[in-house]
Amino acid sequence: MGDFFKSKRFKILLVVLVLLLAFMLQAAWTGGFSPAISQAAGVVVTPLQKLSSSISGAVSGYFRRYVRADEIAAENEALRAEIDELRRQAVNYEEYKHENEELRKYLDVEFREEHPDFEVELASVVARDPDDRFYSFTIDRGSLSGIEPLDPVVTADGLVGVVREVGVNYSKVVTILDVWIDVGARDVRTRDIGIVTGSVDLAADGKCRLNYLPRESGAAPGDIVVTSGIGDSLYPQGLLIGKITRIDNAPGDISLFAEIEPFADVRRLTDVMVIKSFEGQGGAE
Amino acid sequence: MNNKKWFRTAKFATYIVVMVLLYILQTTPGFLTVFGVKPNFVIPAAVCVAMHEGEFTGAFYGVLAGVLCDLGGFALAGFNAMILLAACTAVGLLVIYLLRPGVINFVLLLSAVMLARGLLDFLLNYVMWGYDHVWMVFVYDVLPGVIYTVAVSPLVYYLYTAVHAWFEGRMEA
Repeated sequence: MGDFFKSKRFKILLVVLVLLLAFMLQAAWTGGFSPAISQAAGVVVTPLQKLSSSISGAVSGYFRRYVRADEIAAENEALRAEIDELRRQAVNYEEYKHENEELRKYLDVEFREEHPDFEVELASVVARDPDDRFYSFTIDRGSLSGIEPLDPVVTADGLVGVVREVGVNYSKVVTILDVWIDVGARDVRTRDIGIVTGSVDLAADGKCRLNYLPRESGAAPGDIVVTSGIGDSLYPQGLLIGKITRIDNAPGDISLFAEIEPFADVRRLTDVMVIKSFEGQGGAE
Repeated sequence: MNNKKWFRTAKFATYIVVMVLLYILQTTPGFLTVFGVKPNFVIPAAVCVAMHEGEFTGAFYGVLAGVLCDLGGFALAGFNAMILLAACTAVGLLVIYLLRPGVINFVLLLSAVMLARGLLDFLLNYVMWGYDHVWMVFVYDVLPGVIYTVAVSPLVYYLYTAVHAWFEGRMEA
């Protein structure tokens, strides 16, 4: 084995190791933009991931019908009863159903109308990393679509996370369940402000924490939490985050913290919207 | 290019294509997810190549597997590539000097590689930053991930062994 350490092969591997170290330093230096080696891999892999996630979605949707056959049968019975009831009330159920489906398609349009200052990019979730503990994901839009690091990511239900790394045709998103994230937030009822961040113990349940609530805060379970839009203005004001499910004393009893159940189901997302710009972004306006 | 060289190039290209396809499978949302845990396929692939092709070639496939792992996750780019370069070199050398290539040794070596990588990830990306309840990451995420990956890894081993055997057979013919 000693021969190997004196060989040319070992020296080549050492050079590769040094190159990787250089890539690592470059990645640390460039922050939110992926290093060249990852960008190159991403250009090849992301379109294939997009195809794979669409096939997987279609196949699992097909089989789910059979796996949930009993549940669907019961649901069908209930729906039939409901249709009869609706017929009795002279309401055209099919018309409402169709209208509901159409409205769902335009949720993002509604979102845009509610926030005319937002420049929004629609994106699909194409990959989830097996090693990630906080449900982060990769979307099929990158710098070519004008996405930049730290752009907020939302659904019609509320805030999902923030873009952490951008490649040419992909971006990596950290969710509000991640310990890396800090979002300025406000309790809508009491107007108390705090910081929403992820927590190792809550992430598995799809929850996050609102830290640094004042001790005298009247925040209570059921209160709605939205982005405060203050501080460095990374997030627009008033984006829905979630609902408080529990309040407790923070360690040291100097403040309170709240457990939050996000409105957006971060663990099962398929489509999201990236807010590329909004009024007051970065505190500029 | 003579036939032997052509088959050798085709073999290495096939290893890469299969590894990329495995990467796409492992990152497909919901695919083989059990209680939120997904298996890693590219690390078993790299370890298997290192067993069959030796430390030098194995190291390069370790780097490729690492780059793919870095592409999906949030560890600093190069983190996994460096670990897997060293791990696959070690696997290649162990198989040349001490161990016989076989599925049991593959599973044992892969377990060691996955545990070492999981521990380094846990220490450098979680423990070092002092998060609360950090042990939960190791118990509920790292360990189940290692166990799940090791459990499905024989499939990857037999896939790569079949590719290796097919090309070796053509080269000898």
